[in-house]
Amino acid sequence: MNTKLKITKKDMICAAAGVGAGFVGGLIGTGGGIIIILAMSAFDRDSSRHDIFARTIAIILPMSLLSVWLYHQRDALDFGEAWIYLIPGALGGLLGAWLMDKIGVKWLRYIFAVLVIVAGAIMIFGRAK
Amino acid sequence: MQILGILVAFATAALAGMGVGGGGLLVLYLTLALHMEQLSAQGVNMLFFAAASAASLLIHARKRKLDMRVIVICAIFALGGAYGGSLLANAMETGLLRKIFGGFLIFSGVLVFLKKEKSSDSSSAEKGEGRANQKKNKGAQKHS
Repeated sequence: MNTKLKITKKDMICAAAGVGAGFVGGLIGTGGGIIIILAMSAFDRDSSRHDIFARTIAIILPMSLLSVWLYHQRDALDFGEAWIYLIPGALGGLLGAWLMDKIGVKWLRYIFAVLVIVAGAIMIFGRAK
Repeated sequence: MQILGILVAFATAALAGMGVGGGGLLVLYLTLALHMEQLSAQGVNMLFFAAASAASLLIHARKRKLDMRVIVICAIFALGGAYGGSLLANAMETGLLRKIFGGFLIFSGVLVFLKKEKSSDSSSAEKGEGRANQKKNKGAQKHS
């Protein structure tokens, strides 16, 4: 064994957060980021929220690529239906990253939260198609 | 109808890039407006999200500090988790998957309001304190 490779508590938390985030992301196609942000903000109080967020994106990008591939392997992804969202998605991503430092997002966050709570309730209690 | 989808994708990606959150919004549009099946919607969302996060990472990588050790460890384990999660998603009944998805949305929404108590103001204040402490420590080291 390589004794120079010291595994710290932080590494363990990262690993656990990674497994949890990957699992949720693979299962429901979203949400991995929240788990990583929660874990990171719990143990890393020195980094700014923006740094933690950038780190989170760097972590979930490879994970979503793997999920894309896995979904595709099992015929659960139709590229014909997906492609039209890619360019607006990429442009939106650029805009958002650029806007992050320019505007406060506090109120947006609350609107978003209300929206997802309502939507979540519809998903749970609404009639399935 | 396609225009609406493009707008939803753009807005969702912008929200996600800003850190507000939003990966799930496209799934909502696809399932509730277009009546796409839950699993397919998740697949489309994943691909869309990969494009959005790759683009926003281009900008974030220049502006922020990226702790590579944390990223690599976390990402490797996330790959394992994603494998398990997508296996389970494929094995699961659509109705149940929908409910789990809905439950997670509610959870993440509620989380935003809970976080309010440690609001961003106080956390930045904490950070300020942290920095001050660091300075103090440095000062102390110099003295010693």
